[in-house]
Amino acid sequence: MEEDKSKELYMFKKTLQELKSKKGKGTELISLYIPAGRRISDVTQYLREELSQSSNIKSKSTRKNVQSAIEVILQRLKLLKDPLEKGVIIFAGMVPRSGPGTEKMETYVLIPPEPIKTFIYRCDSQFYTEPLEEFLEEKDTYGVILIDRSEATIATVKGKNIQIHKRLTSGVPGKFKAGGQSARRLERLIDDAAHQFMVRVGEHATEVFLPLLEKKQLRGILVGGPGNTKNEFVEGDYLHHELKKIVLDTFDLCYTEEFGIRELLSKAEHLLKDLELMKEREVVQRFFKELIKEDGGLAAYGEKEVLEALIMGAVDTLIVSEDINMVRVKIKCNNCEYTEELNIKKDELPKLEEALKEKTCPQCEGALVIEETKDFIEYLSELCEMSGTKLCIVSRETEEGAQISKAFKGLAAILRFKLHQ
Amino acid sequence: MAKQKPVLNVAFIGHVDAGKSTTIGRLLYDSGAIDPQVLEKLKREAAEKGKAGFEFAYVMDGLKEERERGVTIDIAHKKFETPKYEITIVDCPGHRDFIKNMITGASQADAAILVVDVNDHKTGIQPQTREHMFLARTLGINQIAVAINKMDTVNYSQEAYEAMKKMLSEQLLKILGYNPDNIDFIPVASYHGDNVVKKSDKMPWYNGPTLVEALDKFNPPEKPTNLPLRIPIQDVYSITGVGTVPVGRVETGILKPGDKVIFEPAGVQGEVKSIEMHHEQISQAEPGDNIGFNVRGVSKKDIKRGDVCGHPDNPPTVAEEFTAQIVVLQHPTVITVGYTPVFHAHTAQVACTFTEILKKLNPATGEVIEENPDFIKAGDAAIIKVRPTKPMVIENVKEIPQLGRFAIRDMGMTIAAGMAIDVKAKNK
Ligand SMILES: Nc1nc2c(ncn2[C@@H]2O[C@H](COP(=O)(O)OP(=O)(O)OP(=O)(O)O)[C@@H](O)[C@H]2O)c(=O)[nH]1
Ligand SMILES: [Mg+2]
Repeated sequence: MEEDKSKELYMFKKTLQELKSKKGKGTELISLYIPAGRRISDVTQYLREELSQSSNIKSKSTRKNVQSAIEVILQRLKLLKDPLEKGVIIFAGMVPRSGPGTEKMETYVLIPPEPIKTFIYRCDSQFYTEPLEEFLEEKDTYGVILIDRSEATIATVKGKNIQIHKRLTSGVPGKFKAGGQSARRLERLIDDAAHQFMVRVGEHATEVFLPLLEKKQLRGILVGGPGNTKNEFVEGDYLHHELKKIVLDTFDLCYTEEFGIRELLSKAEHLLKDLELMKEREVVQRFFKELIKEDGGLAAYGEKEVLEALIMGAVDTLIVSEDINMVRVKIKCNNCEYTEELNIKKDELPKLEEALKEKTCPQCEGALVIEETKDFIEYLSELCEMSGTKLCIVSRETEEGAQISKAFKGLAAILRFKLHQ
Repeated sequence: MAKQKPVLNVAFIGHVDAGKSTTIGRLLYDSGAIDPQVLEKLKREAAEKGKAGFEFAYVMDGLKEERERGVTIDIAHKKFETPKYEITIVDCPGHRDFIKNMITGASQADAAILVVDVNDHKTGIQPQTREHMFLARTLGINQIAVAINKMDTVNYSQEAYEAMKKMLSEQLLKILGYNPDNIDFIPVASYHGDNVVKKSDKMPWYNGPTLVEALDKFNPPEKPTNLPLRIPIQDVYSITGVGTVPVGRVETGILKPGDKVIFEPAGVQGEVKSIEMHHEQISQAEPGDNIGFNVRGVSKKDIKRGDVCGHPDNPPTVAEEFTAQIVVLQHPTVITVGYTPVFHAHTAQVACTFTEILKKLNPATGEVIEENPDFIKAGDAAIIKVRPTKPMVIENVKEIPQLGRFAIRDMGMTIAAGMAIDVKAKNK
């Protein structure tokens, strides 16, 4: 289940990137969002009207392109069946490949991850993708407040992201005693300053968190820091009463800066385990724990070793970094049955095409051509499906993801059994 | 005012509640640095707060929060004279939440007194006893003495003392490379005053030095006056009628009133108006001096703990990236490129990302075992490249050793120690 989601999300993101890069010549790219439960015949009806309206478009080429895009969508609709469970999203339009005159009709049909609520029909020079991005955005957010006597950090944790919203310093006097001040006066000064500071932190927390709460996106607030200040802050009247209700717990931490959040995440594991970020951490840490074993444990990394294990069905969990940027290329001979497959970096594709011009088929000396290229992660996910392997696609924004990406070239695995003794 | 005696900075370190603050309070009291009336007042306050027995600790624990909870939170300094030295005592917090403050304190010390509770011999070495000693070693403190405290709770038993001494020696000090034979282990009952300043009559079996005598056995620290000026800032005060007063310990070089100074990585410049040490004006500050200095042209907002003060013609080095040699003390998993723990150097703490692991070394011999390893783990030594996530000052250990050492922390523990052996400067 989990791993399906990981792959689905990845493919969805990939398509989104693709869609965003498309530009039509005129306002002739059509985006259509059909809500869950809407009857297909209603939509067909709507499009027919649009089609007849479009005859008013002045530019001849735009008119032609819009009309053919609508036609394509009408064709596609015929393939769909009522009722639409989550609704459907269709993009269609003539997109230039390189210069003018190279336009080709492109169509995308997407099943959204969540039901669509509103009907949208748009005709523009770009595909309208904002609602798609909203689907991708993690809705569940946790608020984090780190506080001690001298400083505070207000942050949110959402999906795979940690975002720092505010850093505050208190100006509360330290232990150094200024000459001439009585101990009692100094104490009062410190108490006052500490109180003022907590009031400020509370105000900033309200500013950041309350709107999220109103949007029903805030799952809870975690408060941490060294010493007792955090408790004073939570128990006192500093937080907005609505926010106070959702304080999940307080944590003893050494730090109040960004790395305090890391400390907090590891201490609050049990509360946050459904966060994408935590799942990613858990898997990567599990890989590391295998790696540290004297004989390398059940860890594998490096393209060759991992693929070998994967094909043998020996991989329990495959960890791949979303920025791996590779493609699986299928090469075939124009003349005989010969084929060959290899994995290369996406940006090496033109070089490979060049190289192929020089090379010939090892069997019949015919010309070699690229028959197919496939996204490497997509290829891996197919292999995973076949062997029941869990797939974990890690992002480069998290520390663990960065470690997989940089130290292990984006590919690592936890094995079911050891391949070599 | 001329200084007659050499200055020695001594950090008191050890696990929470071992009695560090109490020992210091007693030390000051028995040597006459504290008025009996003041102590009487503190005793009443402690009783009122339900913290009877903390009156000596209150001498150092000045913050209300510290007094109410009976724990030290931030470091505190006190001047104190022995026959040989003018000693600046740095009281460090033992609680693990405040370890970053302890590191700041330890980074300012020439020597350390490790305070332990004698009862620990029954349960094993406490985690912060271990961590503090490791940090002390990392930060270059080579002279230590151990106060085995609360001897009253074991009837001043020699056996308990010997057991504690043995455990510390075998399970900690030797591992860190200290020779226990050269270390004084002083049985004390700080709360009662035994063997702190006055020789105890309850432990006739002990004929070593008292704590004060042990302090005088330390060697005077070197004074690297010929190196460029470096003062890691511990705190900054804004004092009405005076102005901005950064405080910190002079690590290297000499500072005089009238000097133009620069603070890095803040990059702000000012002029020194006056220098104070223990509330007395001095005409020149040298390595080891714990000073507050009044700077014109700089506001409190511009600088903070972790900045380093130097002269503008040879400013502290702000590292864009640096190469370091490290030893991994403990780590539950592996360390790879991309790992971003916290680095503590002098008074600074900055998260730094490992960008390259260049070599894995044999920790004993320093010989290269592997080039460009994919990862390292506990017990390994390595040469690495590191990129600070925000500007920080660190110096090549071969040029300014005092500012080249660091400790690495993650997951609430000290995981490694190291030193910068090459620094790519941002500001030079
Ligand atoms: N029985 C006995 N109790 C002692 C002795 N020395 C200290 N204590 C007690 O130990 C407790 C802790 O003392 P502190 O001096 O605050 O300990 P600390 O090491 O400074 O603690 P932190 O700064 O919080 O790490 C207090 O209740 C003291 O009264 C001693 O010699 N005998
Ligand atoms: Mg204390």
